[in-house]
Amino acid sequence: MDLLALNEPINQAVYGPGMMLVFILVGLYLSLRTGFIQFSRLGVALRETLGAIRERSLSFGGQITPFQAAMVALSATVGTGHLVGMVGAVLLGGPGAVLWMWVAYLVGMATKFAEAVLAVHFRRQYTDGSVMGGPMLYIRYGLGGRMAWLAALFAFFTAAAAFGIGNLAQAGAVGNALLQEFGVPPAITGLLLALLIGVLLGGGIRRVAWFAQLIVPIKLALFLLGALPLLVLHIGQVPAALALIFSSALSFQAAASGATGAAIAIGLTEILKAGVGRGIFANEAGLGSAAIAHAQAQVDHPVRQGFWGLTEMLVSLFVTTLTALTFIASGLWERFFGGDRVEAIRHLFAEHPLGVPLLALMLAVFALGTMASWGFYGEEGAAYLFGEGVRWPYRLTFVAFAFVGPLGGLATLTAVADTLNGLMAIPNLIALLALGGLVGRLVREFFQGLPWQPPQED
Amino acid sequence: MLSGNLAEFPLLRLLEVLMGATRGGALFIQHPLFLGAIYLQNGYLVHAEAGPLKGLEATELLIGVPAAPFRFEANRPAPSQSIEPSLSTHQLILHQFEAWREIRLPEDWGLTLRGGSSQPRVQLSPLELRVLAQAEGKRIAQVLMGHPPPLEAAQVLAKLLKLGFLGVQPQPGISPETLVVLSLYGKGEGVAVVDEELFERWQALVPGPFRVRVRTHRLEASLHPEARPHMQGRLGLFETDLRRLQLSRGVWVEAWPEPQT
Repeated sequence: MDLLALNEPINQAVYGPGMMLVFILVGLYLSLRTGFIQFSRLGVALRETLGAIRERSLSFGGQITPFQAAMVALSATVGTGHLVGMVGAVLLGGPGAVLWMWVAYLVGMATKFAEAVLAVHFRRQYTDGSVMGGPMLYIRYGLGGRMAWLAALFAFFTAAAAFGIGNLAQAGAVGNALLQEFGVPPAITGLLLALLIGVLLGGGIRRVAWFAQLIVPIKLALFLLGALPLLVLHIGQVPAALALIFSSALSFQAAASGATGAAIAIGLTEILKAGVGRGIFANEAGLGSAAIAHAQAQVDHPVRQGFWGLTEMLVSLFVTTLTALTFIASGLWERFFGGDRVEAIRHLFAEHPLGVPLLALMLAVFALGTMASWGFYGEEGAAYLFGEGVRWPYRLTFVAFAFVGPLGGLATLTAVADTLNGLMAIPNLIALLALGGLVGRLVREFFQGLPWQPPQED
Repeated sequence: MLSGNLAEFPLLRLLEVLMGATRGGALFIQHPLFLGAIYLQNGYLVHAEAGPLKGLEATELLIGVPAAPFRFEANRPAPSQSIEPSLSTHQLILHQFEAWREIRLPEDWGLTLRGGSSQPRVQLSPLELRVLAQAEGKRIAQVLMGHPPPLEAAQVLAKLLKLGFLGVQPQPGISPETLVVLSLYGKGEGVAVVDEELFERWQALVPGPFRVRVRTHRLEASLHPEARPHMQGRLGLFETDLRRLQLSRGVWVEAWPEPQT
């Protein structure tokens, strides 16, 4: 049995319905433990994050500002999956998938909140001022020394997965987009990517954060520049598209249509799989990756950083929803149903005044931000496992992969890394379940005005 | 908007101009240690505030301020009325100016009072003894804003300083810190949460228990200090105090320690 054949069933299991159910159940449990904070304290969360955005340059404790930490996480999250992935979900599950995606997002908000809270609570600050945190730390110190192996497992999955989802897949997308639309040779793209990623990772978290707070607003501006004209173009169909999202949430049937020209019939299982899958994997809530960034925030209380986790989810939800709504309103989803998602989104952007080149630029910028943040995540995972000495060797390897990515030809490695990315969720979700009570306590203390008591370091 | 400094444009002259022109509005006086405001309506004084003082006690203090930036905002209504707008009030204020002319106090009201090096054989009145007992370790401005009322306190202080019962020393190192407000949730009240490092620094500057004076654009408050980690550059205030001081998260304020009375 070759590696790909071995990888396939594991991949299907970690991204399958069973695992999705676990994500949802953990999210519901954390919602309960925090008093459904994503709804009950949404106003406070928005005031503490978007309302305090003018303070984004103020810092206290930690290494980077809370705003920057959220931008690093958002930079990783808002990637090509928010465009191509979202279109793909509609092509698999129909418009009804969007409703289930919303549900998964709302539940996942509590998960992301808890990850950010625990990341700050259990982070370690070293004498040189550097900080390390994330699931590996809250597993190790939250669950105790006996579970150190689980923390190490998470760190290993992260360090390895970063080469796939955070590098080869992204670099490949950039390479393809630039080659198709602008005729840039993949080797040149690879060289530029390697150079840029090398410079960013070489500056440590501060440079990655600086870049993230620059690239995320650019990403969002580009996204709006891409999506809004298309939405305006199909504004007449938006009410119908919204109605379709609700009416086809349980099942959908249509006469001869779709990529094959056959009738469309979508059952609840497909709708749920596509919608919930997007709602879980697009925002990384439950994977634990964003927690690595949130741990770096300069903040007086873990719950305050948790609010950034909630806001991060709202931004991600906004982007995926707008993509889906535009795509459904365009009517292209029926034509391409069950077909190629890249082709479908290219057709969508063909109607845009700036055309498909804008899509290529968007994909390139989205992917670049994701690469920088994932490079940092992977490096943190490697540093947890092997110590500070591994940072530069890891960075150089990551840079080498960034060069190779656009050239293609590493399908096996990308597939395995994708599985490892999914596997990150297992140790993380175990820890979130075990530490849900602590998250609830921290929330209660925060709203009682009590100071944060960090755990005793052992 | 009329603005300047009382050192160049004395308050008496300023009030004469505004009252003569039957102006209405607010005259803000920004002393380094407190905020003052005199409100006029049709050329009459109707309200005054200075630190914790209100009404004629506030005018008593403000009239004695030798130098401080001021600005007049026309047509700004008084938040309340604490002074009866009448000719007798006018005369009373003129009397306050006359009384202050006789008083010799250091111009810097930020100076700290300490026990004098000499103890002359002079009998002190019960009021003078009370002020003497209260004054040590405090700034001149703090004594003037306490009891007895400012004019009386200034007269007593001037005498005690002249006789050598009290001396003054600069308060080294205490200058207002500019901090950014951070909202705290819960039922707490009257507490100023600062970074533990700043707390320790203030503790070293002010002997004994201290409070934190917080000055916003318009209001002032004295709050109980509490130290917490990871609060660099921040001033944590509970929601009740935020509402009382008309503040919100992210607003810059000035804060400094003062001995607890």
